[in-house]
Amino acid sequence: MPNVDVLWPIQVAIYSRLTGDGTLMGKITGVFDDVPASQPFPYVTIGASTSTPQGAHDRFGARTTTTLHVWSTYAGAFELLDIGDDLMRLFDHQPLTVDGHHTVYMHHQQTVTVPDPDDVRHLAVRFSIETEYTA
Amino acid sequence: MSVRITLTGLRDLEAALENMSGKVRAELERAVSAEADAVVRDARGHVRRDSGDLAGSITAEVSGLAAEVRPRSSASDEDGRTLAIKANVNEFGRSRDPGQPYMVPAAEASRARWPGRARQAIERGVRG
Repeated sequence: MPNVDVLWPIQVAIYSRLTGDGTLMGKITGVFDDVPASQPFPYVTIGASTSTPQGAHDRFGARTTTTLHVWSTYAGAFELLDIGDDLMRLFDHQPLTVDGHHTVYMHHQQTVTVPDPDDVRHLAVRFSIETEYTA
Repeated sequence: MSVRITLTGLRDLEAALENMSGKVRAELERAVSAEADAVVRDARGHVRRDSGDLAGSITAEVSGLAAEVRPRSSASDEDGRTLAIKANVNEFGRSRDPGQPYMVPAAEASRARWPGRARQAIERGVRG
């Protein structure tokens, strides 16, 4: 059985969970991996991912880190961190349903408030996800 | 009736274990230094290059069994604040630029590589 890359199924699962949450979607204008020009703030983007092999003798597996970004022009940190809290609620220790893969764990790894030269507030929230290929 | 057992050579054994422990530690320190160099190479390989200043600023500081790899203004022409903004914008992006992570991929590669490197170092230390 050949291995498959897990990045796209993970992105689909993350997008589905984000856009399926009414509380979060009531606070943001959208979820993107490529932001349309003139998109109003605040919004969430699915950023870069890194995948490394995490298999065993009898199965393929991967450890993936994916960074979600929150972008806001609110005067102050509240909006940014409030949306960041929703990301924690949705993903930390909340295993994803990833098509063709079993999720072993999904953990919060790091949150960083990023200085942005564009007068935009930026929060980067990184999660690690370990999966086993099952399909 | 009591049984009395006398062990001899314990001091020699203790000295040998202490010696082995020192060798294991020395091998592990060498492994930490080699791993830090590998992380620097990986991070410099991933980072976007314009002037090359950010890539050149990524350095390792190693102290015993600890190492820290990151961009440092001491290895850059930029002041600390300017370099920090440049480093973060490249790693995490900005509102109209997704960025290009270089530290996280290097750290993840190290996470996968380090157990094997440490195991080999311990084996070398034990064998002497």
